[in-house]
Amino acid sequence: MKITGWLFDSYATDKGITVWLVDGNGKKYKTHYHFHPLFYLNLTKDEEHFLQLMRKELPSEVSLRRVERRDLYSRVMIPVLEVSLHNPLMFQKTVYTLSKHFNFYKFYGADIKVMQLFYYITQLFPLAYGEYEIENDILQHWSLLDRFDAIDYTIPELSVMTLTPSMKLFSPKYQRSMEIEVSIDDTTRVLQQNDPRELIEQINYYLVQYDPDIILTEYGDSSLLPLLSSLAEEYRIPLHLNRDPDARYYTTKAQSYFSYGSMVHRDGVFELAGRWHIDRENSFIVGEADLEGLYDLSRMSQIGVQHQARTSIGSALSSMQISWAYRNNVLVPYKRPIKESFKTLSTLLKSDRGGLHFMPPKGYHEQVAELDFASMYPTLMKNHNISSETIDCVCCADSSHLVPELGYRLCEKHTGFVPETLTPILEKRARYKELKRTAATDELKKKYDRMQAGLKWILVTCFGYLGFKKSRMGRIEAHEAVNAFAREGLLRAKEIAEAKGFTLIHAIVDCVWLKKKDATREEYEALAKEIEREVGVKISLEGIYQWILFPTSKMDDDITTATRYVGTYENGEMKVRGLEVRRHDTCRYVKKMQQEMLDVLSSARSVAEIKFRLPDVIAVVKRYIDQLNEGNVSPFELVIRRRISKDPYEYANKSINAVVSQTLAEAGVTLAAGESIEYIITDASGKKDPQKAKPLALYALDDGYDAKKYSEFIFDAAETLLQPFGYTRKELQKSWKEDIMDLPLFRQVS
Amino acid sequence: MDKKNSLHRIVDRHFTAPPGKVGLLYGERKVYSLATLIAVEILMRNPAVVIIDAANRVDPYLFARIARMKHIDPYSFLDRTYVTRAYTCYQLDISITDGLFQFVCGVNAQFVIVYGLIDLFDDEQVPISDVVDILRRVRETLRSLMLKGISTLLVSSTPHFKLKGREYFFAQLSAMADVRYRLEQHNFDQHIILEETTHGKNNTDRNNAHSVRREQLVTIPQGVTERRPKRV
Ligand SMILES: [Zn+2]
Repeated sequence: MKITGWLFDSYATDKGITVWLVDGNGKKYKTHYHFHPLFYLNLTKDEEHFLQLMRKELPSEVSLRRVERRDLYSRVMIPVLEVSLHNPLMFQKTVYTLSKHFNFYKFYGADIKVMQLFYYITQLFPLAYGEYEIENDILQHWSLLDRFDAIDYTIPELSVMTLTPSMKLFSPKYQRSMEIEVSIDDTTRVLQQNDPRELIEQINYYLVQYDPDIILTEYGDSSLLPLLSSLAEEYRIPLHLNRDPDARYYTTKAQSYFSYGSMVHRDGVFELAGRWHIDRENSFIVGEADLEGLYDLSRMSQIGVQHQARTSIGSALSSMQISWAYRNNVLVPYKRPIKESFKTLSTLLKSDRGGLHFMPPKGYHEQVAELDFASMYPTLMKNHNISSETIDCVCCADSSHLVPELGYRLCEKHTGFVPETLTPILEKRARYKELKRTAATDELKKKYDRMQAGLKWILVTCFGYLGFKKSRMGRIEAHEAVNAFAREGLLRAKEIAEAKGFTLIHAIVDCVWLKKKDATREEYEALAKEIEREVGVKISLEGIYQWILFPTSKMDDDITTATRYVGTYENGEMKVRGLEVRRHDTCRYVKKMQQEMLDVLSSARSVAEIKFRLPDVIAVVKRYIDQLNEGNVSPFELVIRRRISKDPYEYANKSINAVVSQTLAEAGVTLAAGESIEYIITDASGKKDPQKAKPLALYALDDGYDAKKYSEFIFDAAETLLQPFGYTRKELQKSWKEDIMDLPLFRQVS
Repeated sequence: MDKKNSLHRIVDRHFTAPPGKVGLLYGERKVYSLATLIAVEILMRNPAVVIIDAANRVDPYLFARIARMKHIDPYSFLDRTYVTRAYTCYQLDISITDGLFQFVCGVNAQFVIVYGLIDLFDDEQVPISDVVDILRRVRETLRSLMLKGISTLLVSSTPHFKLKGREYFFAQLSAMADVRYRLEQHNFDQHIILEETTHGKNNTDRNNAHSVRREQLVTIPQGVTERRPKRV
């Protein structure tokens, strides 16, 4: 039987892979595909003989075959032993058993997940459209009418059922009992749950009645599905979350771990078989790019949709690189790393630098233009063929393509795997942006915007990943090379601009801010063209600011922070970066206040006009302070969100984080390091109330709030915008105590 | 005791005939600044020094500062100090066991300093069996370097392992060394304690066996990245 349709879901069993297909009418087919996952061993004759002797003792029956595969760095074909397993579920155990006998550097591709091997070896991918041939439920072969990197493709209609907790103010973690809502086709029902049995029967009813392809939840991973499945188990009622009755759920536990210097918490996962569970609260990519962006990424990365939803963007890139290796018969190292070549400390001084920053002069400025390089880092990697194996390669000893400052050679004969995997992403994203621009309807515009947003994140992370010190195929010299090219590009842009009479006001990594008296748009655009020609990376005029503010650092009055600014373009549009109003750790009340201040400033067309509006701006601050002091602010506006860096009882101090997480723990809500807490400050000094702050979940209205502390936050946020006019936080605070009319403003202006 | 001598002593010991020893220097954070001083001392006598940095503590600026204190062109140190950094224990393993001898000979060095040899073993991703393997290979390599006349100084901060059952790696590290030095800090004064000397693999140390001394050390320059109260 031939099915024309899409690959929907797949997972490993002890005999191979279960593959669900869906045809154009929405009909689903559960099929089986005979698949033996494999890895490679580079053994001596004696070791191979030993393996032959012990193969009967392995957890899975294996087939052995001598093959040749290419080494990534030396490019040499080396003879290796291909070990393929008859029972895919025994992959890890078999590797483990063998690793007791053979040095771990002799293994290749031994830690890749079976599902990934299935995709890499077959070069299938999630939602691949094609003609699939089935015989007695066995998937025999296929011919794809689709490519993993295709831009125009179709996806099947998938039915969605949503399951969410009714109470959305807090995470279910904080809720003693949970009410669950089910939505199908725009109809929402609250489930009765006086009796757990009844609850499960109701869920089952909807699952059977509607047979959804996707269960979309909020907190499904951390609370909802674990709760339902444990109730089902307790009351011994089968729960039909899986479409495949023979399969089990795929679950993992929540964990806290250290990453890039901060504590991160990751919820456990709860994945289904034959049907997808996607938890909006546990998916970065769905948040950024919605389901369409998720499907797009999943197709590119060849990571199953449920898994891609939960995994990091870095894994998508890594997966694409490993897939490239399998397509090209290249061995994927298991534990064998790439060591950094020895370098002198003088070289280290040059190479160990990041992107270039020029500090902006503090205060308000007029007529400043911003030019941004588009996808600078990935474009440089592509243009200069920067990849782990192309630096000081074995084949181009006298390459003329050198890394600036550092002198590393770059390969001139072969394209590296990094450019190979980045090119389709860059092209695809450029195409989506193009489609977005020319889209006929708003809906299409939104769609292409989401699609490009998903890919944007790969491009943003690709650079970090390249140098990611623990990454399997990453290499520190590649990271250094990209930085060196980026620094060179930015300096070149500066030189070109200055030669044409522009002054560089500010630059960070891939953006420059320039100024030239009475320069027109056309002049800036011509400049951008010239820079692009010279540097080889597209750069475009982001806009000309009528005014722009670079606030001083909160730590030091004399310096600015490269990433904090606000300004309005000629068309009146305002751009804000890094100010309180954009920060996650600012409470809503302060954000609202600063936004109102900005609203007043937004119509100003020059610094003089800003000055003219200062009384109105100060009036905003006054109103917010008054409301605070009168006790009229809704506590919900004062909620502060912070991430805890330790488990509650690991804190040795009495910081607010410590007190709040311990109060929660006493109330039965256990949080782990890396999770967020939400609280309202009741007495920051701890003098009147040693509790200092109340967790939002336990807050009662008569707990009040610390008006003094919140006033400080208000003054801080006001200072950010007003400091260039002489209004520091201290000055503001002082005048407030005396008389607001003492503020210099009321003496000078008006 | 002349404060200069104690620093020289560590270096001298390694240079007394026959060449080729393995030393362990350990203690609190400043131990890496002390290691820098030792590296500089080696550079005063040798064409080059080779550092394998698994603790992310190599600080070129500190080398430059010491050079300036000695009125020497910083580049005369920076150009002769060779570094490779390791971020996983497998990288560390390969850095030591694969081609180190050839490199050391190539740059005419007689001294290898390894920063944080066991630091990277405190990682859930790394099975104990891998650690045991790596330590065995490293030990063999250091021994063979020693026989070829190349000394190694292992530098380690006092270990604080997060993972249970991994504390004994420090004992293993310690067992690799012929001589151990412990850096002790009191009120921001640095003392070096020559804690113990075993007659391990190198018989020349027999005479000095079990000498325990407490000595005032030269002032360790402030690390560029470190923030500590200034000494008065
Ligand atoms: Zn080449």
